[in-house]
Amino acid sequence: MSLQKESLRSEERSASALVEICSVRLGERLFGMPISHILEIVGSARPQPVPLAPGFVGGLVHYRGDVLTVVSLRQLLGMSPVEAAQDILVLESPGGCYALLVDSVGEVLTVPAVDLEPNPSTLKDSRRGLFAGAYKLKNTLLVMLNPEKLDPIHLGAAPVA
Amino acid sequence: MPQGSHVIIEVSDDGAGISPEKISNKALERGIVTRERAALMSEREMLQMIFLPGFSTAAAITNVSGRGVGMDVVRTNVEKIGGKVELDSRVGKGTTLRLRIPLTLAIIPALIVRSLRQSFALPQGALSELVHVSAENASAAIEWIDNAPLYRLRGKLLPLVFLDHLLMPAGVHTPVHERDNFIAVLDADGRKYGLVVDGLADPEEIVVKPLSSALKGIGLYSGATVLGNGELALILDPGAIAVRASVGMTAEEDGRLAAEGEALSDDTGAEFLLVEVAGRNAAVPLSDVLRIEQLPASRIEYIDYRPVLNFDGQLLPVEDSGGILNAAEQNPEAPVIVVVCRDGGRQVGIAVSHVLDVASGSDFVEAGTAQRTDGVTLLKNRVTGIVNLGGVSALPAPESGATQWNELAETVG
Repeated sequence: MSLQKESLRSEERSASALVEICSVRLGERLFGMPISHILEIVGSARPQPVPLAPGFVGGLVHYRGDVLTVVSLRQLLGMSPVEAAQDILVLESPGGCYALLVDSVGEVLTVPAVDLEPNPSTLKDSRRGLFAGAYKLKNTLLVMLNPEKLDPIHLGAAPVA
Repeated sequence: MPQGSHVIIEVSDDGAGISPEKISNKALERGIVTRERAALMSEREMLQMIFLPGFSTAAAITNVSGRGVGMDVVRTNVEKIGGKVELDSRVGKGTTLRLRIPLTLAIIPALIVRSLRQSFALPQGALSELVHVSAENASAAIEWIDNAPLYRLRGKLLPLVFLDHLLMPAGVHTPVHERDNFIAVLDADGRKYGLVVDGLADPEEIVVKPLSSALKGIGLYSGATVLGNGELALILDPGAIAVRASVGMTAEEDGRLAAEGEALSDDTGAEFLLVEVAGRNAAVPLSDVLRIEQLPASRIEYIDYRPVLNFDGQLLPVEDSGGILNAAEQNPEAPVIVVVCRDGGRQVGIAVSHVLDVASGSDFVEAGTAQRTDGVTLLKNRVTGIVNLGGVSALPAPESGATQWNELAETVG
């Protein structure tokens, strides 16, 4: 009896502490974005380039009658651009919506919140704000992205090195 | 198009106006405001109550009217897009309703231009004309002072800005003599310059979408828009481009440019339509030109050997000093060009061989007397005769006057 109760309680605890994360790929690297921030995922997007734009801007996309600024995660992290069509996450932020350009969107993972480790102290300052820690998956690390800090308004105000 | 600017739509009448007392009485009656609050209200505040939901002065309520929805809907929707509604009314004088709508939601006419293999929108407001310089002519037509490109536009040097060079300073660009060049002659804040683009697309009415602050900071774009074909286009800011392009200029050159701009505005006296009539050039004052018609020669009819044109039951006398219509008579289907002009109250047509250009002319003064000469002007450095519209003979009528024209058309037609 008492054993049953114990297991029930632990189930309750773990259920309340599970988080759903949308995994995105950038080359070989795996990143995660909490699904609560994602409005929509748009596949095979070709953003319109904006000449003279800051380095992190991947262009503009047309989304439901609005023109959204695209933040290219590749450009932001200083990775070389790719020719292939990429996927876009439409994210909600206090300053309005924006789009995040990634190589491809993977599955939605359900992970226990307790598996989140904070950013290591050795992480470069310029990156620290962009990431919100990492989840330990079986064979890799899922680096969490910080949607507030990826907002073009925030990036534009404090340019990332 | 600075941020925070609005489009203001003002609708006013000179009717009875809205009585503030009537509004406040009605509001009390309907229980929208308390008596204490109503007593404290200014007249202006009372007027604003018409925007409240459920407010109506209508005595009878029908399915659509008198339900107190209309003004509330107007205000809610205008405020939703960041605008404002203001109401001003004086009893016995009239009512003015003012809508302030942010420009970011405005629709503006724009010319779509191509550069860097993408589309840009150029607001028509700043655009004065377009010049095409083909690849063959480019080397001769585009002149350089050191590294500043210039174009001779009707004898004045126009500084040029290459859009692709401006937007991609580090890029490799096709030289001008290997591509078609289109010069959009812009006048932004009094600064006249030519913006060189690779191609032109159609003019479009575009809806201005705001850019995020990260892109506003670039300073050359005033917004973005979605084109008819679904493509996105950045809206260029002609004023900002002018400022950006002249960053490297010396103060002296700035002054010279400004002086040139003033000289230009002084010079542009009257504009003329330059036409060719049987091998001779002639000028028609542009302000008098209503339209240019191209029609088959068979459309021209004759009253007593006088050529006339029947336009929707209205007759137009046609001046044919060059004998163009006679020449075209042999071939009834051959097109003839008729410039339709206004001469006082009447309209007259002038048969021409070709329409050549629009140019601004300058007056001559007679040597010695310094009196202005009539009937001639200097167009493109050539003395050109101005067509005397008054000299076009009137149609036969009891009293040939403008007012008789319609009646005449009826009797003849």
